[in-house]
Amino acid sequence: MRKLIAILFLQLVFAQGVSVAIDLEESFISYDGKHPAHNWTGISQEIKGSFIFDKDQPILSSVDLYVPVFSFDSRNSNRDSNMLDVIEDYFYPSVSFTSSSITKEKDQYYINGVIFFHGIKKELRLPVNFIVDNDIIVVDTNFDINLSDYNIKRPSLLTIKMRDQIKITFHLVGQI
Amino acid sequence: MSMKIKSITLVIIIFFSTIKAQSVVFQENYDNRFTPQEIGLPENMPYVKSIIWGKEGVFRKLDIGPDTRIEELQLRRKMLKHHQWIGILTLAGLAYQYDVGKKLYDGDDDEYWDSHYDRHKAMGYFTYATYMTGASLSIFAPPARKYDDNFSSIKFHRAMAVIHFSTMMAQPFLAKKAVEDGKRYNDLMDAHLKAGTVAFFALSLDALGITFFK
Repeated sequence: MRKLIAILFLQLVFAQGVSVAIDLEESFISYDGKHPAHNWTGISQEIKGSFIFDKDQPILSSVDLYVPVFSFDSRNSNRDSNMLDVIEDYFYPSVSFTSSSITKEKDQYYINGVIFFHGIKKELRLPVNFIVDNDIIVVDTNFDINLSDYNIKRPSLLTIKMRDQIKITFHLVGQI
Repeated sequence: MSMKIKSITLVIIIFFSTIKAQSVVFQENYDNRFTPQEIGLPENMPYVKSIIWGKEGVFRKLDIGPDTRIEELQLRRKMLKHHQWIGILTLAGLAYQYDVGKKLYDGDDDEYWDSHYDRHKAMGYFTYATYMTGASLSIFAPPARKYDDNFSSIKFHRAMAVIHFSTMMAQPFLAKKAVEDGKRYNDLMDAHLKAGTVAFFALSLDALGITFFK
């Protein structure tokens, strides 16, 4: 019976997370690519998946989000097509991130989880900032990844390859 | 039902409801986010591309090209890589041609003419061949994944291509006519030089645009 009570207690704790309705007009994920000749940004607003937020204990929140890579738009369809070629979207149509835990160190929250990109899984620890205003939550994070870590052959322009490191910016606005 | 069975049933229900409430991963494992979708032809294909590679395109009717769209995209990538390299080679060749051609046109040095005329002619064949090979690699490459209406470096590239393609086509024709038609030699050589100048500067501007514009 004690075990049952313990499970009931856990159920009560976990049940406090609420599913966040993602505002697709305001939310986006972007990447910043660099080449010696020019820089560019590709943006997608097609953020899909689930975000369970626990207002009282944010470390019990969880995310499982993914974005179809086809949806990234850099305002240059030729570049987008090249990007889709090198990340082989016909084999790997999405990039996803699934949290495993959330920790808080000093005043900074970190979300730990697995990114799945171009068929490669990698553990990431991302610093996240969030603001809750009434029933609206705004979550921001940005981090760098290396294309070579995901076995992506970098595209080149006039024989010069683009920079290996790209910056990812994630901005999510949702309704609790 | 005994108390024991009721308790076990309750525990199982609570266990699964807990898992579901806690882990969205468990739920999402069933979706198809990682399942490759069938890749079709893009919307807004340029006119020339649709004539060649559209659903009713020439290559489809003649059964030319790879069997699958994925193979088409892989082929496209290879063709455009070679297009870039050949474009650089052509631009270098045209720079040389422009310099030599202009000195030959000015024609105040017989020695220079004797030593460079044949070279200019041979380089003319070479740059014409590399240019047309590079252009063919782009024109006949299978369609990309996306086309849009935004003004970008690729739109600029296509606009400039109309200029340097037409002048490159005209170049050998004008030179040949000039040699054949003695009466109109000067006029035709003027046109040949103008066409060469436009081709060289349009290609140079194109290379700058595709490199530095976003």
